Amino acid sequence: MTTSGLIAETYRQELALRRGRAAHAGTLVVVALAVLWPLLLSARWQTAGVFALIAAIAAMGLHITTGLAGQVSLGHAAFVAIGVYSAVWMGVDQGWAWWIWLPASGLAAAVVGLFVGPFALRLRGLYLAVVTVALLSVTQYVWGVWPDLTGGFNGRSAQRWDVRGHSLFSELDVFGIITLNGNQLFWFVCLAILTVMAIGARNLQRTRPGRGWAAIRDRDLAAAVAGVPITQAKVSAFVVGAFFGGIAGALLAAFQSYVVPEQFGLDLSVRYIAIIVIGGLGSVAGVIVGSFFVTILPLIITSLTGLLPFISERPSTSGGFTVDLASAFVYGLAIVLVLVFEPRGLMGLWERFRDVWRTWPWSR
Amino acid sequence: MTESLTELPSPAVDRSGAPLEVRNLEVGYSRLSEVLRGLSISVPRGGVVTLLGPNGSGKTTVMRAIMGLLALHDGEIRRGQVLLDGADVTGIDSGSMVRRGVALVPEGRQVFATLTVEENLRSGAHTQLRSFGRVGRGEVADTFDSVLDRFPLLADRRRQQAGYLSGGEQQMLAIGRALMARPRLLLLDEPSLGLAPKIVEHIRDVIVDVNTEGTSVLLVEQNAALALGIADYGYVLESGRVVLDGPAAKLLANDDIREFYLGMSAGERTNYRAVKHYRRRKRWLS
Repeated sequence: MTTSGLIAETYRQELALRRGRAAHAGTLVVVALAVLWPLLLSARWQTAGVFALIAAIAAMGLHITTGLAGQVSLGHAAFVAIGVYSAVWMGVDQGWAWWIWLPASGLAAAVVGLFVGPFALRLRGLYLAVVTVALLSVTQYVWGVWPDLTGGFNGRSAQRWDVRGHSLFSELDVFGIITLNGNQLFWFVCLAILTVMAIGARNLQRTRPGRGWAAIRDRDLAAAVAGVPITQAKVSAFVVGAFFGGIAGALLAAFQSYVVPEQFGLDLSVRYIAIIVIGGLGSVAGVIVGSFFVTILPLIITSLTGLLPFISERPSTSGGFTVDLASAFVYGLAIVLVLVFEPRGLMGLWERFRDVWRTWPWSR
Repeated sequence: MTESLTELPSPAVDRSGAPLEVRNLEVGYSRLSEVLRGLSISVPRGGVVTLLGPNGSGKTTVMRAIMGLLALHDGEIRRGQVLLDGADVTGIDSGSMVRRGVALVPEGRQVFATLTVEENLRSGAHTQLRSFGRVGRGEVADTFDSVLDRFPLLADRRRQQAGYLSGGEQQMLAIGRALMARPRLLLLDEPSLGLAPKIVEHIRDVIVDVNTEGTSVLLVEQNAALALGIADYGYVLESGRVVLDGPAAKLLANDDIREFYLGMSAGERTNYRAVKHYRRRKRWLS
C-alpha cells in the first residue's frame, strides 16, 4: 500500500499488477464470484455466463487491436469465424484432439490477421474500418460458397470437446465432492483460458511492443520519431488481436455445438466494439466487465418482461419491442452515455468511485 | 538553376565526410503532387545547416523523407538518395534511422499529451536500451539528467502531464525527447514556431550547445534571422528545389535574403507593392 494508496510513487509500483491490500481483497471477491456464478445460478444464467466469458476473450483481441494500438477494426467477427471453422475442420472433419484445434484455430486467425495488418499501414480511422468491413464480407462470402465446411446457409453441427474420452458436456464428478454439469464445466474451462489470456494481455500492455502500440495510438508520428517500428507494431496488433479472436471462435464452436455462418456478421463485430467501449477503452478488466454487461443484458431484460410494458419475449405481429431490440437500445444508450460522461467506460466509473471512497473525506 | 555562393567551404567544418547527404531527391504525395523536385543538400559533421523557404516549398517534406516518415503521410521517394555516413538509407523506416543516430523534433511538437514530462522524455530513449545492443539504463539515466539540466523548466514540471504544458514547454519537451536518443544528427522542424522571443532564445542556445558537443544539426526555420544566426551553411528552397545556397554569413549579406527573409531592404522599409511582385524581382528566378 502506498502512502496515498492511489498514485504510484515509484516505477516499481507503477509496474505492479495489483496495488495495495484493497486490490488483493478485490481480487478475492472476483475469484469468489467467478467460482460461485455457475454453482448458484440457473442453467440459463450459466449458459449466458459462458457466452460472456467467450465474448470477453474475443473482445480482448479487439481491445488489443483497437483499444491499445488504436487500429479501428470492424472485422473482428471475421477472425472469430475463422477460429470457429478452423476448429470445426480440425476437431470434427479431421478428428484431431482439442490441444491441437484450440491453439491452431487461434493461429489460423492470426495468419489472416497478418494479411490484414498491412492495410493499416496506409489507412487510418474510418478508411481502415472500411477495409476491415470488407474482410468481413469476404469471409462471409467464403462461408457461403463453402458448404462442405460450413454447411452453407443452414449451418452445421460443431465439435464435441472430449478430454481423455470425457465429453465436456457430460457430468463430471470432481473428487467425489461435487458433480459439475456441462455448462459448469465449460464455465471453468473458459474461465481458466480467459484468466491466462487476460493476464497475458495485461502484461503485453507493459512490454516494449505494448508501449509501442499505445504510443502509436496516441501519436503515431511521435512514436515513429521515437523509433517504434510502425510497420511491425501495426501488423502485430492485428495478429495478436486475431489470435484472441480465433481462440474465442474455437471455444464458441465447442460450446454452441451448432454454428451458422450468419452469426459472424457485422452485428457481432459491432457487439465487440460495444463491449470495449462500454467497458472502457484500453482496460483489460473493462473488457471483461463490458462483455458481461452486453451479454447478460438481454437476460435481464427478459426477466423484466413481466414488469415492463411494450416488451415481449418473442417477436409479435402487433409490433412492439422484442428483447433483442430492447437490449440493442439499452447498450446503444450505454455507449452514448459512456462516451459523453465517462470515456473510460464502466471501469472508469468504478475507478472514480474507488478513488473517492479511498480519499474520503478529502474527496468530494 | 542553383546559383551557388560557395567559394570555399566555411573553415570550421569538414565537408568531405558529410554524415548526411541528400542527392536529387524527388518526393510526391498520393501519386499526384510532386513536392521535392531533385533536391540535394548535405549536412557536414559537426555543422549546423539550415533550410529556409516559404510555406509549401518542401522543407518539412525533406525532413520526413530523411527520417523515413513519408509512408505515414502517404508520400513516397520517387528518385534520389539519402546517404548517411556514405550508406544508402533511402526509404528506410524511422526506427532504423533513430538507431543509426538520427533524431527528429517534429513540426507541431507532437508530445504524448496524457503522459508526464518524464515519461515523454523516456519515450525518446525507446531505442537506447540494451535489447538493441546499445547502452545500459545507467547511461539512459545520465542522458535524462543532462536533458533536465538543459531545460530546468522541464525539471520543475517533471511529473506534470505534457498536455497541460505551454507551447514553449512542449517544444522544449520535444527537443529533450529527441536528445534522449543521443543523436549524432538532430533534425529540427520549425522549433521556434509560435513561441515567445525569450523561449526562442533559450531554444537557440540549446541548439548551439548541443552542436558544440558534437551533434550535427539540420534546422528548418521560418525565422531566417534566428536560423542564419546559428547555422554555418544555408539552403533556400522554393517549389521543391534549392534556389540558393551558401555559407550563412554570405546568405545574411545577400540582398534577396535580406529583403525577402529578413524584411530589410537597404535601410528602408519594405515596399509592399514590391513584395507583392517579389517573384518577378527575385534574381534567382530570372
